[in-house]
This record gives sequence, C-alpha cells and structure tokens, in this order.
Amino acid sequence: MAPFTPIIAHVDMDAFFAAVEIRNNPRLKGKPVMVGGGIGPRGVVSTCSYEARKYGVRSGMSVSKAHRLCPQGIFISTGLSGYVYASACLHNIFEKYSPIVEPCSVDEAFLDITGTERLKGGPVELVMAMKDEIWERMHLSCSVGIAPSKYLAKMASGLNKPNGLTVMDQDKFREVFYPKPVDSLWGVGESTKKSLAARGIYTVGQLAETNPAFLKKIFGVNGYGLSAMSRGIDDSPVHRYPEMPHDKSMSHETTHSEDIQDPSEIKGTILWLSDKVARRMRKSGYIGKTVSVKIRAADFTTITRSETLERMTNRCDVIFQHALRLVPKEFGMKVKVRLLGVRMSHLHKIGRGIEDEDDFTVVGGGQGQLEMIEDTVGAHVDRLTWAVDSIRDKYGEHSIRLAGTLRS
Amino acid sequence: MYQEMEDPIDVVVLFQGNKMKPARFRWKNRVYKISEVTGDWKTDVGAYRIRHFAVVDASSNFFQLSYDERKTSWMISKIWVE
Repeated sequence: MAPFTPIIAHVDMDAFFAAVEIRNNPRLKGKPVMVGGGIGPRGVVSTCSYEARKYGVRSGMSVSKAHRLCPQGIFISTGLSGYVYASACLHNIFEKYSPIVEPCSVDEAFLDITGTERLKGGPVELVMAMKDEIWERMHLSCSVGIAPSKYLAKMASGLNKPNGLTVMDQDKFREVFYPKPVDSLWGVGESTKKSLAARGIYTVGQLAETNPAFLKKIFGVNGYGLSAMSRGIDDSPVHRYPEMPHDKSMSHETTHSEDIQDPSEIKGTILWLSDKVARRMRKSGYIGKTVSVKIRAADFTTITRSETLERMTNRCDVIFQHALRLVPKEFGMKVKVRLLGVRMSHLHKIGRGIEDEDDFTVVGGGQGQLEMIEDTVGAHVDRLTWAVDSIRDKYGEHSIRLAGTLRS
Repeated sequence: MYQEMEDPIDVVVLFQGNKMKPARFRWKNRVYKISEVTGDWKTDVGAYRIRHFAVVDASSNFFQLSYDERKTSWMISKIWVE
C-alpha cells in the first residue's frame, strides 16, 4: 500500500457465542452447537458452530427450523454476560495493537492500524501477532480483513472464515465482488436486492456501473451510498468508542412462548418493555422524542406505529402511555400477538445539544434541573423513578419491578 | 445437555497473581479436582459482583461454579450431562 494510505483492520470473531461455549465446555467440541435467545420452538439461533452450518443452520433462523435441519444439534441458551465479558477482554487486546479501536458489535471491531503496523514489521505481521495473542489468551479464533477503508476491511474479513486473514484493495474488491450478487455487499438486504432485480441489476459489478443519479431516484439519498458501496468507496474514519456517533435509538422486544390474546397481558408486556428501554436510556444518559411499537401477529403480519412526543423524555410512565396507545385495539382482542417491541428514537445525550430545557422531561438530570418539571404528579413519579434506579443500581435489575408487569 | 442448579459447594481456591482460580470443590460429599479452568467471567448484580468459572475435572466433566462476592459463598450453577 502507498505511504499515508489508511490501513484499517476489521476483526470478526468466528461463531463467537458458540466458540465461547465450546471453549468453556470441551465436550461440545466437534459437535453442531447452536446458541439462541430462547431454546424453545419460538427462539431464534443467534449463532452456531461451523459443524451446525454444514446442516444449513444459520444465524437468525428459528430454533424449530434449525431443529428440523439438524435434530442432533445441541441448543444452548444465550449466556450473554459471559460473551460481553469476553468481548471486553478482546477489546483490551485490540488496544495493544491500535490506539483507535471502534467496536461495531460484541464480536466485531475496526482497528486503525495506520502507523502501528510498523511495530511488527507490517500490517499482516501485526494482525498475525494479534490473532496469536487472542488465541493464546482466550482460545478463540477470529477472521481479519486488512484494507485501505472500513468498508473494504469489513468485506475482506468475511472472505476466508474461519481463522482467515485477507488483504484487500480496490482491484481485489472488483475482482472478487463484481461477479457476486448484490446482497453479498454489507448493508444490502432482501428488499434492496428485489428493487434492484426489478430493474435488471443483479451483480455488484452491474450496480457499480449504474448511474448514481438513477439509484438516487429509487432509494433517495441512500442511492449514492449504495453506489459508493458497490465500487468499494468509503472514507469514513475509525472512531474511538468515546467519539462514536450517538446511538440513534434504543429498543427492546420479546417473543412470547405462546401467542397472547389477553389485553392485560399486552399491557403488562408493553409496560415491562417501556421500563427496560427507559432504564437503559437513563443509565446511558439519553432522552428521546419518538416512541414506536412493533407488533407481530400470530400469522407473522408485522406492524410498527410511531408517535413523536412534544417533550423529550426518559421516563417509563410517559413512554408506556404513548406506546400502549399505539397498539391497535384489535391486537389482543381479535388478533393473537406473537411479538411486542418498544423503541425510543431521536435520542439526545443529556447535556449536549439541547437548547430549550422546557422541551424535555428527564429523570436524574442533576440537581436543580428537576425544577423544570411543573406538574406535581410528574415530580412524584420522578422521585419514585430515582428511588427505583437507586435500588437497582445497588441490588441489581431484578431486585424490584413494576407491579403492572407481574402476572397473576 | 445442561442441567442448571444452585447447590452450595465448598471450594479450595488458589490466588495466582491478581486472579483467583478454583482448584477443587466438594459437592454432595464428593471431592472433584479441577484440571482446567476453561473460562471465567463476571456479572454485576447492582453494586455486587458474581464471578463465574467454567471448569473441567480429570474426566472432562464440565461444571460451572459461581462465587457471590456479597455473600462470600460458592455454588455449582450448571453441569453437563450426556
């Protein structure tokens, strides 16, 4: 690579959740292991070992389908705390090899290794040393892409899994990806693929040759991004964690073990989800303006409804009231419900970028700021929420819960 | 498959450097010698912490042990049964 060209590494842990489980329990080695959020038939496979993939099992597949494809598979319920801890340990290793590390999920990160590659003689040598250290300290393998941009590095890391190392530049990107279908690009999903196919665009190469202005007409401003992606162009920098752009939304959703048709159970679930979202926002120091609900019926029909609030908030009671109103009346009465979700978006970090303080209602905003809450009920709820947060901070999230979320 | 439980156990622990490492434990009047700690992690429960250890004995039997810092007590939380 030419001098001063950025050198970015994208590290992608191989079948991370399954690999942690297999490392912890050697009896699982060589077996088709699937890890999911719920091991009942309604659960979804989060990740699976490479042995399971031989049977056609994939991430995001329902547990019932995975079971049909691989009846001898071993299903393990997600042990998230162990994975998050392993992820933090990995991050510490990454920081030995680059001062600029951007985590993009629990098992992936970008490292800007421009300059630091000289520590080991070159980028490949540096990454090999890092892979060795990850294996020696954590007994986990990863696949790494090295490229002049984040996008190319991400595309490269997926090419030689597991335990791969791929160096990619623009020429190699064209050679490898131009013949491939458009959905081999990171960020291109089924609906974009269908839209492009309807216009005779099937491969990355065809997409790259398409006029960006034409793509803009179809996809809006995202059309330009799509065009750049297809040509492997990306100049976005690697952000250190504290400098990363703010979260755009926070959400929680749950799939019921059985479809529900009881309005009080829907109400209790919406309250529970609102509480989780609000608590997470308060812990992270966010307030938000748009409440959304997601409802999936028993027949998999999925709808979302949103409402923008007059005042930004991170209070459970406010989020709950609006979220509940957004659930159409027929759900729980005539229509059985499979999944419910609550999301808050248009988030702002407290203390940053809010000019008019009358525009928000916030718990835990600091001494003096609570005076902005004019109504007595609001102030009461605010004090109560602060007390509940304090109890949870000390004794854990499950130490206290809203009565409305208890089932009779 | 895994079998989950919350059985109290007695544990002999080695402190190596700044790490704690369970060496053997007594469960249901039987002593198990730990041949390898295959994984360890922590969970925060409010202001307190629980340390978890994935361990195997000489026969490659798997156990998950947990140490509750608040209660200063150990328990066996998971075993693997064929």
